[in-house]
Amino acid sequence: MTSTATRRRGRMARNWLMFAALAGPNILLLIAFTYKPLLQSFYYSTLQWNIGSSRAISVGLRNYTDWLTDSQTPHVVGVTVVFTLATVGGGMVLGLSLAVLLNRRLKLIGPARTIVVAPYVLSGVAVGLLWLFVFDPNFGIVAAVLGFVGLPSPAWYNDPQWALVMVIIVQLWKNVGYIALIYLAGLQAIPKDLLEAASLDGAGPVRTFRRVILPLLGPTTFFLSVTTLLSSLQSFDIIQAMTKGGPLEGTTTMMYEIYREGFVAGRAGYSSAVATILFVVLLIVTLVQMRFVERKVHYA
Amino acid sequence: MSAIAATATRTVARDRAVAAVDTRAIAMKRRGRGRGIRTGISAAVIVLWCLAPFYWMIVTAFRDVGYTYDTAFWPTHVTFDNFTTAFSTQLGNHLGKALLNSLFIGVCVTAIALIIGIFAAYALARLDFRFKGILLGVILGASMFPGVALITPLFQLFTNIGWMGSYQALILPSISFVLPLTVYTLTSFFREMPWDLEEAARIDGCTQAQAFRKIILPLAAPAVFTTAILAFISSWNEYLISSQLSSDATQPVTVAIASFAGSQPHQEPYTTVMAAGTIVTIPLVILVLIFQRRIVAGLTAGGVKG
Repeated sequence: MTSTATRRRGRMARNWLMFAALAGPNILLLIAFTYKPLLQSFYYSTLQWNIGSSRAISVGLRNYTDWLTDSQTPHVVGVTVVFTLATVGGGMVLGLSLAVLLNRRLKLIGPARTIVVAPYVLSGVAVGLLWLFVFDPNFGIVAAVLGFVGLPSPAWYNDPQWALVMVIIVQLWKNVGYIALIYLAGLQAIPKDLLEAASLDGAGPVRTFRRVILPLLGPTTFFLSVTTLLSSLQSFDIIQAMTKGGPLEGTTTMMYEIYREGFVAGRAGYSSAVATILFVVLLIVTLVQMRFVERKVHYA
Repeated sequence: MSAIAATATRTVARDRAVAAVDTRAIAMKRRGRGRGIRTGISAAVIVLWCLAPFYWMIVTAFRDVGYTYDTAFWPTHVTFDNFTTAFSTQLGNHLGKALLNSLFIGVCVTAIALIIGIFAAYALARLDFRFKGILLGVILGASMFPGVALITPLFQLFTNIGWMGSYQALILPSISFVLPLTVYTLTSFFREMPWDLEEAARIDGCTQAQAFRKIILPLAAPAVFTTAILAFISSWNEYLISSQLSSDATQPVTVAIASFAGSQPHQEPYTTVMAAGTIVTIPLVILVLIFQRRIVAGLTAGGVKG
């Protein structure tokens, strides 16, 4: 008994050493360039400090209270919520519909799949610049097409509300393909006999979809909701390339506020405080979803 | 009388029922064909929706700057001038240099991240020890941090050690941002490997390292290649950190095209930007077209299994 226990402990210790040797560089890099900077950022959030300045005053939690009481904050939070809900919710619905469509036995499924996923792998900056040209309210191709149908073009990036709609459309254009791709893989992993059984039991396509397919896609939906939520909350490139948060702060999400306060206005302490708040939001979202999913999702 | 009537009604009812079944069958067949057509139309609309912006970018890239806002759908006033302008160092556009920078940074990041990531993923997939879950969480959790929060500390760090604007200041953080994705994708591929073969090799006298190098790594080559493509794409597209940490000499393409100058002063240089956009995105589109199977496999590797 004791000898097995010792041997087991010995093997565990050996495995630990092996692991430290193999994964050590990886973990060291993450500590140096991700974890340590993050902790430093928490510390900066308690300072009144401008980037490059040698003077920093410790102000405790004042940056946080400043943000919470700032008259702009409700607006920024509102923009963040609208942008996130529209891109995550819209993305999931559109992505799933697209996946269902691609899952039919179509000729040319391969090329179709590639075309759908192509926008996802492109640089957000390039995509933003391209769509900025497409959306030009006076001379853009969207305005031309709307004019052809007899509709006036919205002011797009000259109007705070339409600018938000515009960046949402572009974010969706870029990401729906990825969501569809993951859903498609999920759909193809569903055993065919389950669907046949449902059909033999007299379930129509709608019922099969709601009662059989959707529940089986549970883990995929969970995975996608976490990844798209995290990426939407941190979306930056498209907004930077298209609107720089404007006009009239119409597209200033929390992420963009952090950037602007820190690197345009130079208020590093304040910017770090907002970044810490965003980090806490991301952490809570992830933890809640993980707990929720443990109870809710059934693995086949 | 009433009996006959009843029978008659029943017959009629039955006939109707039969007829109804027939109509339903026909309707279903027709609906099937209708659905096929509808599927085809929706597929066409989606393909158009995905491709039209690309098409428009390319058409504009080849259009004379005087006709920037021409909305003809087909190519008009075709010229290569925009590409010349995009590469013109006299106008302050360092696209050529930026492309080389992006390539260099991308190759370094991909190579180093893969070497480091392969060892870590092997350890996670293969070794059994306590707190493995926590360590996996530490590695994957790093992908959750808002990158914008890391810029100020990194800025301070690189200023202090005199690395501001250097290649290593762009490469090292980039590696650490790519690592979680690399380890995640590789671990999910490694879990599916036939590890019995490694055991067999060890029984035949290989060391664990030899078994890994001679048996597992060749088998894992497709997975490693797939992960490399994804890491390269992610590094090529990185903008936020580079925009703050690079200098004029080291700036990657994403930073270069965001600050573009055209040939006409006081005008949005759309045609030049579209030309630059074409040059920046077309390599990636070609990469996707050539390796579409691999990329699809890589993107879905972690997504589907629970």
